[in-house]
Amino acid sequence: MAKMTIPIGPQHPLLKEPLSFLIGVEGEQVLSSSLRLGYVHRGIERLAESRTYIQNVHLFERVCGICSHIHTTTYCQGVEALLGLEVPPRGLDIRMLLCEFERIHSHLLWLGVLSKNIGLDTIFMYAWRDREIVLQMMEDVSGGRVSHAINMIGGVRKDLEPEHIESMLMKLPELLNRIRELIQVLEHDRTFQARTRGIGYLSLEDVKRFCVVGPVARASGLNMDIRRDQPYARYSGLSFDVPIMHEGDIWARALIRLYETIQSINLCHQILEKLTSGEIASTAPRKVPPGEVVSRAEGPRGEVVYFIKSDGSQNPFRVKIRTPTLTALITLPKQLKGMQLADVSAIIAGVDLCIACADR
Amino acid sequence: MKDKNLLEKIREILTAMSLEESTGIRNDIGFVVPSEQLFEVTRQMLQAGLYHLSAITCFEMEDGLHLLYHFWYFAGLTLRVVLEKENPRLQSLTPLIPGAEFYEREVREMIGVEFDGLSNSEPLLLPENWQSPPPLRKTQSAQISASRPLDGLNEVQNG
Repeated sequence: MAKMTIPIGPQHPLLKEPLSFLIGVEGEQVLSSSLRLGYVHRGIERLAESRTYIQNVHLFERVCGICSHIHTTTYCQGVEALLGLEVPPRGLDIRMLLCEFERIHSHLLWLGVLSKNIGLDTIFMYAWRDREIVLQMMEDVSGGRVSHAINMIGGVRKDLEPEHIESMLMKLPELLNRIRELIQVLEHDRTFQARTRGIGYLSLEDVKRFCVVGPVARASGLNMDIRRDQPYARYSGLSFDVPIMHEGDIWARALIRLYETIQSINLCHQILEKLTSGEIASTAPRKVPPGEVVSRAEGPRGEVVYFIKSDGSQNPFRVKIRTPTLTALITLPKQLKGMQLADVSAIIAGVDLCIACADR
Repeated sequence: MKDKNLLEKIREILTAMSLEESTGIRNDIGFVVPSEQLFEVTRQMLQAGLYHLSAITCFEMEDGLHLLYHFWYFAGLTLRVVLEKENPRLQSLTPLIPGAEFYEREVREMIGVEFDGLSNSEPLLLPENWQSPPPLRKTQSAQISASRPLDGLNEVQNG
């Protein structure tokens, strides 16, 4: 049968953001694939060097359009470590609350995108309907549905209102019920399983070799979660499970994300119930003493890494950002090899790509 | 399962290789590694069980190009390699850690370090017709970014 190369992207209905794949096929079978990034490269790392630490909070909020809060959290806690600045417990609580809301929102958004890509529009609509609940809660907390601009060096800028806490505590059980329903569907729906089981397989060995992080790694059996393994903020005082599966396919990735969503709802409850009173931020100086720090946090897609080097001035000397999508992208040629062309859409969606994150 | 002593074991291995321990990075274990030893050091760390390379950072200082290899196992461990500014070359870690490919390709494009043994050296982020010096080099690209930030793309602009 004739061999062909099929380009997918940079502009393609399958992709929500620009990315270029060249997929070599023989008949319907994928033989090889290569990818190219850079279509939304904004030079953020270079730009950060010419801005002050405070201006950079605003800049890093824009690395990603979905997990904007985890980027500023990782950056701020890095700068706070360099400053030796103590953040008030209530400030950390509000940060963690937003991090967990963001995880729920990101996982539901992803489930919608995956379902849409494999033609299950009903799940897409249910997932995005339920995501609306969490978006509303995020708007209550920060004033923004996606870009929150709530983090600042030393804490957060906006406190929780008592009526918002009350309404969140009422909405969370409703959200939990909806997620449980979705899990029922994914665990038992035959069409969903037919399109996702055994597709995009990654073994534990592959996950370790490619240094993969987050739900993709956990779906292949890698027991790693920065919140538990190197606790930041006040995660060490909260109790939660890290779901692990061993199937290593898209089905496992879908379920892992929903199990994680349940854990996140549980964490939100704990945070709101244990909420400390007092200040939400401490005052940070504008100049940061010389030093280098690596800051890590668990984003919705996995480990987010910021390296910050200060030379003692108002601007960072160097900021390096490693987003979790980069580790998932590198596995795609491996996942695609030998698959059917019709499964490409599921595999590409299955790893939860955020191209703006990967490009920076 | 967590092996609590792994980073301590690795510290012993690296000290036995007479590498200098540096406390440059806050909260991380840090070692300065001569560029020709990096591959062997990584091989030994992998053998001991440290497989997760989080990122590679590179930046230009007065004494040369600093490459930081950020490893992680329940805490950070960073290896620092300092290269000459002129024609920086280093052995690629991709035969040991395939996940290092994108990190190395990015360092190659943005700072201009060549990696021997890197299987794929196609551009990853910059346009194919980028002609200016690597954009994150401080000394060479300072003038470009100040005057004409898109200078590297002149072929595109000229059609």
